[in-house]
Amino acid sequence: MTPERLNLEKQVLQKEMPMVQCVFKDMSTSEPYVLMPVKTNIGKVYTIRIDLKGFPNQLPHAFVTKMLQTKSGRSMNDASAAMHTLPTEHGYTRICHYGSSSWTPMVSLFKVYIKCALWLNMYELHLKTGKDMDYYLSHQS
Amino acid sequence: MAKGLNEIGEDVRIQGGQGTGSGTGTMSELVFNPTTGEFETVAQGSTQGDGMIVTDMTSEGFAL
Repeated sequence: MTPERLNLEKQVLQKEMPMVQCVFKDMSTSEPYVLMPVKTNIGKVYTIRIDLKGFPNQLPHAFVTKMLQTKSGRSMNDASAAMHTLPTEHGYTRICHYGSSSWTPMVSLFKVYIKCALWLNMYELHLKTGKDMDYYLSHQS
Repeated sequence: MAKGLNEIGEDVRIQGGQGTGSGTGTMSELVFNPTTGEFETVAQGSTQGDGMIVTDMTSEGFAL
């Protein structure tokens, strides 16, 4: 990511969600990432990790920094259309947000954050209702 | 009055084009509150304050 794009991303994040403390890590390495807290509507706090390798030209991988489990107790560590997840990396649950066909370099980290935060809220709802995530979150066409 | 997560979930479902559910229907918007970091759904045209409408991010769907 160019310094100009990084500054732009930081400006957008600061403007759109000033209360959320985003921490950019290892930005001078080949494996940069950003950590962003999410508080769901029921008050539970998670941390989102977005890997920035290749961003913005490549779709960034996004994770919850733990291995989540479904209501039935199954680890969310694999690709699941019903739960909108992809195979785990770092030992974390990987969120399926944008598809590669819908990704463009114009998509901001803020948008990825919003989709991940919404995903987490629907995950909480899944834990409550038992309904799969794709009951709430539609699939990209 | 703030909506519960169940109601928001049904609104998100409807905004994504998935049935009619029991939410408030297609005349609602999903709003991200930058102060609380929470999502809200409000009737279209009724947004006030500094909340950002993010309905489009829902309606475009998720991968897989």
